[in-house]
Amino acid sequence: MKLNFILNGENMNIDVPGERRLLDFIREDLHLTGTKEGCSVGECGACTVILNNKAIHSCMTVVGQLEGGELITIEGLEKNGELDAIQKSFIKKSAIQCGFCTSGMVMTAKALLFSNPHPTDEEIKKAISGNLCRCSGYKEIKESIKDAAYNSNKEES
Amino acid sequence: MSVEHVNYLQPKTLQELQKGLKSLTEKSALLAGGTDLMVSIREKKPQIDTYLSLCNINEMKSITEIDGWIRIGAMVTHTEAALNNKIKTFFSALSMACDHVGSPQIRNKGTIGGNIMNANPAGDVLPCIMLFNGEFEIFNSEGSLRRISVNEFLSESGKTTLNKNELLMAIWLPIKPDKKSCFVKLGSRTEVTIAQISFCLSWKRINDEYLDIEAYIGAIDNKPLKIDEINEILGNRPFETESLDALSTFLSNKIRDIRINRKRESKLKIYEHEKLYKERAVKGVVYDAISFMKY
Ligand SMILES: Cc1cc2nc3c(=O)[nH]c(=O)nc-3n(C[C@H](O)[C@H](O)[C@H](O)COP(=O)(O)OP(=O)(O)OC[C@H]3O[C@@H](n4cnc5c(N)ncnc54)[C@H](O)[C@@H]3O)c2cc1C
Ligand code: FES
Ligand code: FES
Repeated sequence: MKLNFILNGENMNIDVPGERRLLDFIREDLHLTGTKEGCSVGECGACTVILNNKAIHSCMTVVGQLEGGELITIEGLEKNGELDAIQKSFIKKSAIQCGFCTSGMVMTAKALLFSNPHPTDEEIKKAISGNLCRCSGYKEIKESIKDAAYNSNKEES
Repeated sequence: MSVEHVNYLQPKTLQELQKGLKSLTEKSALLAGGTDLMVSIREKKPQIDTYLSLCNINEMKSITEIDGWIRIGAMVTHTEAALNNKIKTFFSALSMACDHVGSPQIRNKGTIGGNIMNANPAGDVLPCIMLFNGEFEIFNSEGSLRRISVNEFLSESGKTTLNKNELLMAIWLPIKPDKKSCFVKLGSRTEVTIAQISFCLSWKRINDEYLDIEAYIGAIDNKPLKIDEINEILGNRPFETESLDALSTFLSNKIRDIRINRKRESKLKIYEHEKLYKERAVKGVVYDAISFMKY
């Protein structure tokens, strides 16, 4: 099908089978390999991307569902060579160990801050409930998200 | 997934949808959010000839109030349903249920219609629709619409009765402003958990009197079960230990009877003592659910 959508801020017009799994399309066709494949069945959150400001699993999505929408992958967060506030906080707070969950975790956090710029601890916990980290750095991850929210809000005021 | 000979249809209008429905075969799949479908495709690897994606049909995406009913399009996501003010006000049980389906990613994509059509005994939405005496709006390949009750929608064994040229367009819930409701689910963890037991409850409160209590319990049989005896058991003292224990014992016996009479072995690989878990744990569910009646 002919597909129109926005990828990381750029208009895309592509001919692609509508039923192609979004995760494969991102990694294999677009060569954006920051998005990871963990469980492939919606359990781990490693494949999380943002579609129309909401966190979704790219392993549970087909490309046709992008039509007319705006997709952001982890590669789209960096602006003019500068990392996003969430990425900076993850580094600052050492919220990364092996890193496999990190891009999904960061995308989930980004979507949370889109809809809720001042999340409580409980809201952060609920937001990342679908993202598993096997190195188990949840404490640092939650702190990073809080720190990023604080820094983004400070910049805006 | 094989790319050859696969049709991907994503209609924008009801006419296109009708045409799409007409073209479906036994090998075709309706695609809503995909959170159930993509898992089953991955596990069973069926040869699918046509995908009919429903994500661009506006009539399936809105929540509207019409003549004393709320119409919820089948493509409304769990996130949208959980946040909707009308659903929160008149159908709290549904709002609470949708707020705890899977993870945020699942709720952002998974739809009310997909959940109902999947008709999983542990699905969180159907018990609520039954509690509110909801109706199902069905669209077919001739372009006609009909509204049916749950008895017509679900077979005895808990499967949906629609055929391949039909789909669920919306559900309709009658507004009863004096009724309150709640939903409680017991799972193996607090978030991202499939129900071991789900329980939804509605009631009317006039001063300190509780009237017209209705309840459904889910995930214990092939479809949600109405608890006809609840008014009798709780009487006018729903918060007293005696009433709560009586209801717990009643439900525990019911779950035991279902277990004993089950002809087919459970597909789950569980130990003998785990089989008794629900019978014991239902007490906690009862205490949790009834506590919502205080507010
Ligand atoms: C990790 C994970 C956690 C989950 N947690 C829960 C949970 O806590 N509670 C729960 O209840 N469920 C849960 N689910 C199951 C699932 O997410 C929900 O049932 C969801 O609502 C399904 O909706 P969907 O739009 O994704 O359906 P899809 O996967 O798109 O469709 C499901 C089925 O229904 C059919 N269908 C869809 N829409 C229609 C329609 N309008 N008319 C006719 N047929 C239709 C499809 O053809 C398909 O067979 C979970 C799933 C995963 C992967
Ligand atoms: S790879 Fe998508 S949720 Fe695990
Ligand atoms: S850092 Fe290794 S899985 Fe999270």
